[in-house]
Amino acid sequence: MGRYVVSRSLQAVFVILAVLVVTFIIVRAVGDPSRLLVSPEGSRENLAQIRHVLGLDAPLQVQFVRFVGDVVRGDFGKSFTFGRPALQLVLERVPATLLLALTALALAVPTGILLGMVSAVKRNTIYDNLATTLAVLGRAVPNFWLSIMLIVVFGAYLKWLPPSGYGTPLHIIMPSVALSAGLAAIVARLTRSSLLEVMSQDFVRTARAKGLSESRVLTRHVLRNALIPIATVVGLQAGHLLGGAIITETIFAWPGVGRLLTQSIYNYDYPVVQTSVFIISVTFVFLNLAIDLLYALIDPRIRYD
Amino acid sequence: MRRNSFILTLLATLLLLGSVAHAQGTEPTTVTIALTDDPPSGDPHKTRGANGGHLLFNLFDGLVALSGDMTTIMPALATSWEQVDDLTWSFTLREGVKFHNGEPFTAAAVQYSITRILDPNAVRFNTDYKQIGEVDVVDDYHVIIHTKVPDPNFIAKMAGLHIVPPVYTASVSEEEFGSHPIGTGPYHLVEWTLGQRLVLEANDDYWNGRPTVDRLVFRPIPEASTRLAELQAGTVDLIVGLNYDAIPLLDADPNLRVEANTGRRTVIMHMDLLNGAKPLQDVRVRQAMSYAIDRQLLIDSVLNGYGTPLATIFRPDMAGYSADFQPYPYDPERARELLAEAGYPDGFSIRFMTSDGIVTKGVEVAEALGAMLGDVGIKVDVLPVALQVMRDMYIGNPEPASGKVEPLFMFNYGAPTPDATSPLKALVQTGGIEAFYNDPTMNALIDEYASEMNPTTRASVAHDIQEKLYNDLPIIALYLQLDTYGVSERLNWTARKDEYVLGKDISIR
Repeated sequence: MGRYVVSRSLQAVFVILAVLVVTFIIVRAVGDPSRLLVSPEGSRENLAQIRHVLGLDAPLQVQFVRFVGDVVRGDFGKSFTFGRPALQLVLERVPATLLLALTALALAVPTGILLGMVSAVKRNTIYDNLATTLAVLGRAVPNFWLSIMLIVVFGAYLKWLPPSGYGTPLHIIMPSVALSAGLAAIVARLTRSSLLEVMSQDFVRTARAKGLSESRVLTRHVLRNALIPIATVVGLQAGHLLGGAIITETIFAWPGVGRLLTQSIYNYDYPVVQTSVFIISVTFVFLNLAIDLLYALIDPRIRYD
Repeated sequence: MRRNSFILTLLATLLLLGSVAHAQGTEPTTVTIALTDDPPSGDPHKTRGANGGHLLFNLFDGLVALSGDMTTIMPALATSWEQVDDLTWSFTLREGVKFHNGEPFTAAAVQYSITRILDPNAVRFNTDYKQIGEVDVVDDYHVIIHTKVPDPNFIAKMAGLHIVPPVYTASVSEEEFGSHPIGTGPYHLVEWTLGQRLVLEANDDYWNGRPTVDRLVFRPIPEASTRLAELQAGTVDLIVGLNYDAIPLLDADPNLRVEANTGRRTVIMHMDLLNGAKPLQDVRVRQAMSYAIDRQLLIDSVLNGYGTPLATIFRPDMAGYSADFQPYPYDPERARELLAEAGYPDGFSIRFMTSDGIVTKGVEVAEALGAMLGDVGIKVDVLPVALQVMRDMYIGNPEPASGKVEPLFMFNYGAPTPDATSPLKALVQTGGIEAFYNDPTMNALIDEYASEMNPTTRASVAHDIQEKLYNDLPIIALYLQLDTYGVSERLNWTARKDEYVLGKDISIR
């Protein structure tokens, strides 16, 4: 187990380094912030001066070495837009993103499992069809469209919920529902197929033959065994929640890392883009590592030796 | 263990949320305004941008102020001023004005602010104010500013040079000043959480009288449909950047209305005449293109009627504007004749780059233009791209003659003062940061316009420039873009031309 953790952590560090390199290059390919900052009455010399002030006149490899050196010392640079340390700006936004992603996860997983169970147990009935339709819809409807529809219906017309923003428990309802829809749908489909597969196995027949009640068979024997693939997918998708949060946060004006990231991309704010992507990828990578280790808890057959 | 820390994080964030919610105190008259984004900084000398102005022009004053229609220069921190000679301006300052922290406003603050803005690291503004030389403090309430070159637009520019308190500004870091700015303006900053809200409160001691709205809350909401929903829900009183498509919705709602003002942005078809496509090099082709465009139809059909046709890049409010030049009439016959004269009886093909970011509805406008040009035989291939691509291609392109730019492209220019120097230098004069034209006579005329202190002579220079712009068409001017806002009927407010939402302009009905 220990060796596994060490080797996976090393891999994780490598992945994060690769992400840093790619972000560093892509963000520079997108656009040049000096063109945003130059005065319309400025000259090409002014433009050159701005590039110098921002440190963008150095060759790319020199900039990269400087950047990595700074990152190693924990210095992610200052935001070109806000003039504040990039790391501080990003970390300020982490709680909002975590809150949104965790709420969405907490909504998606039980909803998905419940829908999947209904489908599997009431297989080929109207309930199954209903649950399946819901799941297909949840998967097919684009996140941004669902978000806007929720805002229009519950925010603008019914006026039940604040259309956007942050601050009260009411504010989190729409964004977390919008964000969780896709994941809930995946979990529902997976739960259904996984349950059906397990239900057809011999040990389930044995459990029933022992005289266990149907609900006990379902929760103790079937569900527990069906959970392994679900846990895998939830783990992988939790990372995607962070990605989905970029759109959801922007539409709902939710002050999280995703919203800061889109804003910074538009502003060519290299330090903030790099730092946001760094923080998101660190979260993603270590989340996956944690999920891998969780398998051992769910399934005693899995051992990392 | 892992699960515990997970729950702890959740609890901590919930607690944090709770405390934020609790911190909202009593509410006097509050007006909530949805912006497209956060103002970048509260430091008026380092950054601005469209969103920055909403904050800065509420917090700070300049020596003078521009009226909402940008036609009148009004006293602000200076009660009067006088042009001593072409290079010397003398200002009498308002007495008894205090900054929000109690620091007195005197000539020293003016001197400090100007020195600060000319700092070489203040990347944007040291260029805008580069003509300022020495600042002499005569006494506490008299200051003399010398310019290095004659600048007829000097006074109007001073409206954007915000005065900061010298003692406070020098005592804090730049970062600290940016997040806790202090000025003399009608509002002072109370709370600012990036990405969430910016709260300003009325300055009780404002020299021009306390504004009637006690509190302004600015919320950054990037998505246009979300801003609209906030307005419809009544949770926001005023939204900027209202989509033209949403106008009928607001018209139908008795509680809401649309406010619009011909903004400061001129929308143009810009061209690379240094090395662009060959047909464009012929002035008859450019004239044909201008005749082929039905500007009013474009405005009525694509822009819901929100726009004013333009003859040149001179806005009607600009110094030296001449009504002698009216937009080219729509005359497809004349266009075809001119094309034939130029040797293109069957037209030609050209690519036209555009972006929704560069002007409102940039892609639809370009497609409509493409269809109009198509009617006279010019086959236009519209190339919609992201705004970033256009910025990188056209702003400060190191080699404007390299042929690396698309020859025809949509562009806009929003001059901040009622003066054409800025767009002429940027878009027309050879070497300008967005210029692709080389005409020595025009270059000399622009220099003359930029420095001629006699208004009559200046107007005649301006007339010559407009005549050349009109006949030689280095740029095909299209229309003045209207800025549209959604406003709650509980507010009295009309849109300013400078795009800023100022608390002192608002009252509750």
